Amino acid sequence: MKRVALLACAIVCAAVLVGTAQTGVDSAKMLKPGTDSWPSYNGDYSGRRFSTLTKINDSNVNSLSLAWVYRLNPGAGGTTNPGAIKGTPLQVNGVMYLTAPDHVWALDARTGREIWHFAWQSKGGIHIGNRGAAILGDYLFFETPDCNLVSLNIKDGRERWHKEICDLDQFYYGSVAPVVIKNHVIAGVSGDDLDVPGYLQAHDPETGELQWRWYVVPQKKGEPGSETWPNEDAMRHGGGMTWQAVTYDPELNQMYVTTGNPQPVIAHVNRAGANLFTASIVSLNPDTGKMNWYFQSSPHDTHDWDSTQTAVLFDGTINGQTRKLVAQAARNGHFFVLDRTNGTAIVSSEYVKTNWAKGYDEKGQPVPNPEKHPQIAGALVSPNQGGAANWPPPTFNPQTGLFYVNANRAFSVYYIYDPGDNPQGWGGTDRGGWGESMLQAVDYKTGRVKWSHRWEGGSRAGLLSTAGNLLFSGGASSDLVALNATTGDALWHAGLNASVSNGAITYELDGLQYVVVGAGDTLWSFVMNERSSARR
Amino acid sequence: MIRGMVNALVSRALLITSAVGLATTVAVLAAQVPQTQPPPAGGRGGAPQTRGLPPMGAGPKDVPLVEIESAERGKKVWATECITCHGTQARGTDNGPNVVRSMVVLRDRYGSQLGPYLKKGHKMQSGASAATLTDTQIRDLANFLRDRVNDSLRGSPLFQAQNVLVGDAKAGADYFNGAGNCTTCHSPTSAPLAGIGSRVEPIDIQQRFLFPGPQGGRGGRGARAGGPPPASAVKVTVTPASGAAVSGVLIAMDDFNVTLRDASGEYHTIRRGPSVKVVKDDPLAAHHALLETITDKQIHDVVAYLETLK
Repeated sequence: MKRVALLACAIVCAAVLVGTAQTGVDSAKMLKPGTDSWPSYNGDYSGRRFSTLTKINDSNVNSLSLAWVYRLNPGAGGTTNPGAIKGTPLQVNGVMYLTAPDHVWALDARTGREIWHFAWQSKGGIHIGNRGAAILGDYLFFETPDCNLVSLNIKDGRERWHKEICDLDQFYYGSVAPVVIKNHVIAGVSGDDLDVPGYLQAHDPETGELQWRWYVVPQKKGEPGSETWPNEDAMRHGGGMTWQAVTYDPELNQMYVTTGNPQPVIAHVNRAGANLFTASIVSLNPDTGKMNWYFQSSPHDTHDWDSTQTAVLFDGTINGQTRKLVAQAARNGHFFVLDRTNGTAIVSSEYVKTNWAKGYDEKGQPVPNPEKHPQIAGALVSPNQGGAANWPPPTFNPQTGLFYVNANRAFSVYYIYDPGDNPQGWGGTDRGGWGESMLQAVDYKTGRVKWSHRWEGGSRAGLLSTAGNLLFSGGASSDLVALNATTGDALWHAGLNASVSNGAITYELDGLQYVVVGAGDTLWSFVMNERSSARR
Repeated sequence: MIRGMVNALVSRALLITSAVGLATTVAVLAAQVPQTQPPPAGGRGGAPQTRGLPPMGAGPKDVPLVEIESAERGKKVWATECITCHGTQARGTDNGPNVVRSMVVLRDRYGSQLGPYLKKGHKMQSGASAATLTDTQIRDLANFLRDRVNDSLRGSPLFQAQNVLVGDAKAGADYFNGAGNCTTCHSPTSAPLAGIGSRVEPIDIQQRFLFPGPQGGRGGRGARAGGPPPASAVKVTVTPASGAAVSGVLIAMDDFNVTLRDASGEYHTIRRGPSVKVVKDDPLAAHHALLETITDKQIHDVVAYLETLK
């Protein structure tokens, strides 16, 4: 593969090196990242997307200034248009690492200046989005649409190695942000056009060699979960893609994987059963890929509601006891809080009103109403296929005790298109739709929505919360909005000319706090300047 | 994926391409999905007509397009030699496996994998060995099977709604005239319902009465300058702390500003604040409210009733 741009010139290099050293991040820093960095997809292993920084806060956010803007530049050597920023950039030692399908850029996090750009020569695959990269040491890892896990040297963007992680002929593709846990690069796979099984892999950061693969769906009769499928053919083609970056509790050495919906997606007659371990939160040992426990958010899903929304880790107080918790606002409209040591459900609730479940089973899992499975003549279902939430990240603020998620309450009609006894692929879809969009602040102890902030024009943006009592979200009119995290009042906004297309990040450099967010093909960096910032 | 939004963007149809059509298709998708044309068929002049571009650029760049004439010939070979065990759609029977999920077929390029497999002597339903198949027959089977793989994809010719006309028209009329409160605004003898059964397909009747107007209930196209707004456009009245209220079609509203176009066509953006009163008027509010209460049976009954309005 060819790197298409190097360090621009000696002058640029010298300028970059004044405050920036392209050195990486070691395992210790991954466990306790400082506020001067955002070294992994979610900023840390917890998935909370909460920063302790307070220099930007609810009393001064109105003074937030534009620091710099970077528009994706695919260069001359890129084979594909990079599209929009749908991933979370990393920031390590003053350098930002930004991705789009087939592309990685290193940017000066203080100035937005491009340091290097890497373009992958693609062999195909769906180029809908790339969620981001991972870094360990001086090495970066990212996935390509044509099913490769690629490692670059962060100093100059040169490729170290690439490994095929999935099969284009089966219409898999790569989009997921890898996560490094100890000496494992954890990589998920994407694709739901043909009926193929989802899996998660661990690779050696040094060599790229495969360490283990965990299949989401059982591959043989007798394996755990196989009792929830009618036959081997169904389970081996049962889907369950691993679209989302994993989260991790180092103390428990448990990794939390959220899995995709079963296949065939809509027409489901040939996969009777719960279809484990699709649409689930699953705890794995990151060293072995062995399962500790599972909780199925959407048993026998028939609405394309993967449960790959981030599994957010925090410690909380339940009935007076401190508990290790994991929470998820699932695509199906339900909110779950589990004991993350063993998967026991503590809270199951709706974070938006839905119409497809009859209640919860003894494990706290929703029980689907068969009448709201897709029907030949149509079934009116809420949420719609896009879901109450989707891939954009939620956030948890330990100071307010609130779990925040941008939610859609939408209706559509689900149809079976293939009424035969052995459908393949999708075999149906939903059509039409009307919905409302709102930011929901959920009390994790009860699952109740404490407040709801309506977006008149809709928003599905990712979220960031900070100890400055702030919540950053994309708003209804292509803007970045800062809200009071306690009350939900909108405090500040800036029009970005395109809808926010990822979740904002924040970090502090030189004593200044930055907030950086993607909107379409442009990365916007805002900063709280010092009161007296005049320079000679 | 998370896709999620991925799925919402899926193209509606597997594109049927000809030599000319392919050029257009490639031009439209070039930025994302360069497409490899099939190799020329031996012994025939010109490029064969093809179809089967997967949605959203799924699969490898060299995913084989289906040569239509060849696939039609392959269908006959399939019926003669394969259908008994592998089924009409090649999805398998009790006597033979699903072929469209086999790696031989998914890796195949115009017989590249299928040929060597069949040449090993796979027994066919006539009793003959597959080793007797000609190269053309193998290529034809390969095209037929790629078509069957594509049947699985969104946008394929099989990816179509079935009969939605299953309701009770009498019950639908009762709902229309009663619990549905439809007659508050509508009459079966005036627009847009008069004759709807002869103008609109049942599934579109269903969609239109459940989800009328621009999605999301915003001003949509009606909010543009020039031409009257549609009756369904959301109206808004903004009353500042001092001064006259302004009314018009809502263009956009967020926490900080509200934008509208008034009846004279003038565009207004007004800063929102505690003393600024904003009142929305959504003509489709009753339809949106219906989504909370209507049952699937009532939906089907209403469709059956409206379909009788010829």
